[in-house]
Amino acid sequence: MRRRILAACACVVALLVLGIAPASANCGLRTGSRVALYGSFGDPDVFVWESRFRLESYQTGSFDIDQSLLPHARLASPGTRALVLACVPRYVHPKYRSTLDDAVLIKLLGGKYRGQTGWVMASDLRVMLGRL
Amino acid sequence: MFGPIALGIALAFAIQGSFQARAEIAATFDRETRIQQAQLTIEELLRLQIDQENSVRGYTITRDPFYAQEYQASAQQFEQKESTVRQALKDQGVDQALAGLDDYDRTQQSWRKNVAQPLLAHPDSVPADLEKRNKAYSDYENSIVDEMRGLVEQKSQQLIRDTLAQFNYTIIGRSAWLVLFALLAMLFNAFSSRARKQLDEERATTAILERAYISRVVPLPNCDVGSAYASADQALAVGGDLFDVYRLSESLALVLIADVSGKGVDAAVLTAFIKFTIRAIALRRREPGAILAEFNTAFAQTVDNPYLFVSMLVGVLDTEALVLRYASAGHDSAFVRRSSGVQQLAVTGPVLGVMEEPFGTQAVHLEPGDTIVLATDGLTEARDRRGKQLREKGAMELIERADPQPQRMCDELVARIRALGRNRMRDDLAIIAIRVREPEAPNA
Repeated sequence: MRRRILAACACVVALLVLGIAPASANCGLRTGSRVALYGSFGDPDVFVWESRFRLESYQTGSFDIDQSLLPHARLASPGTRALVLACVPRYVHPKYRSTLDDAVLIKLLGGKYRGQTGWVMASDLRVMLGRL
Repeated sequence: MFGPIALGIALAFAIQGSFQARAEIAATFDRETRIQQAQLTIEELLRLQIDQENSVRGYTITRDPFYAQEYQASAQQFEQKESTVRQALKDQGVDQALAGLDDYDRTQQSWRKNVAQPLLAHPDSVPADLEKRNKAYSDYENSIVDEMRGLVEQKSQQLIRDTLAQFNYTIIGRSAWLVLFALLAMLFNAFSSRARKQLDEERATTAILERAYISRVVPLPNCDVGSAYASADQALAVGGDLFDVYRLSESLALVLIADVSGKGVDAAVLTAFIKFTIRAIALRRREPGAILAEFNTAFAQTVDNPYLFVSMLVGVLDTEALVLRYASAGHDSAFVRRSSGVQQLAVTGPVLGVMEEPFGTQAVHLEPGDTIVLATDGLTEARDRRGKQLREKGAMELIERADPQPQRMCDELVARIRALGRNRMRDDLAIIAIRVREPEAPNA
């Protein structure tokens, strides 16, 4: 029984390694990093999206599409702390930018939406150096 | 001459290139300044957009009309700046940025219509997702501005690259032209030096020949004789002017003046041939017309060059009877100065070396004090500073006013001709002046 439990744990670890670790291999942020949210373009608030597909649609779509997507986002205040859970490198190509950006899955550690998870762009995150 | 001209052209080219480069630099700076102004104005647009958003937020929180006025002022300034940026982008040909500006303007209008104006009209009815909508607008507009920044910066960099390329092209082109001019100048200088050396050598040879064959004036009874010979300036080729006074007997003297066409060694050698041939003929014949006729035949048989011909006056002066018998082969620079004025001696035949014609002989009876003045065409064809020739009339006036003493007369005529051309002799000039005196009584 104990052996089965160990095998199951090994499978979970293997899945995590195969599913997430390779995806974050080229990301600027490591899984488990502690970060703070801060909008990189003018407005420091940050949209936290339900899925990375909505994040992508928001960044690449027209303004009307963006408006229709708003019910699927939470608006986090600048400085909200979070934990990096996963990262998909070079996933988002914002409409008016020449470079690709990473999509990052975070868990909010503070603010109005504490405990909830969501997707943001890597450029909206600042790595925290000290303890949270 | 080409050297200074080439240098002048090269200098003019270099100066023109400097002015062109200066104009290009000025144009580049002007365009760069406009682009920088456009960049600054784009940043101002963004600031005005944020001012509008903050004004609306301030009004919804405080209801203070000041914020509403601030919003209106910012919106108005935004429109003005937007027009300025649009014009600048059009002028600089940044079409992609213009498309972004259109998008930016549409978004801004949408924000005013859907967010700002409803909030200003009903500040109590703030929609639940206002912050999100504001954030979405802000993100979108900031993205557009970021894109525009990049495009304008690209244009600026392209302008710098183009200007640098233009500079390089100009510098390389000018350098190539200057090198070409320098090579041409060097080539011409080498050619010119060689030609000048040849001319100097020829001139030296000719001068030696002239010194060898130039006549020395011999004293004649009852006569005072003067002569002068002036060479053309150094840069010009030496001609074939000749004079001779040669005693044929106790009372007779051969008087000769001739002008050989052409220049250089050939002409100088021909003068020697003329001098001694005429002397030899005159020793046998005393009739000037016959002397010319015989010489003409010898000349035609001796000289092959069809472009050489000679104008000549041969005279036999009887110093006792005071009579000059002469024949003139196309030589019209011959005069007699009398107390009544100066008289030109008529031509009696064509120039030598052209055709076989008989040459007439004329006799001129002289009075004591009369002066025979024989010259080459350096006298009558002398030009003043305006290029006008002296001609026979002017020569006769000069002779009439000149000193009566023959040698001084010759020197004075040469000096006047030199002064007429600003101390520059374009042609050789030979002059003989013979003044007759009262014949001395025969010794008892």
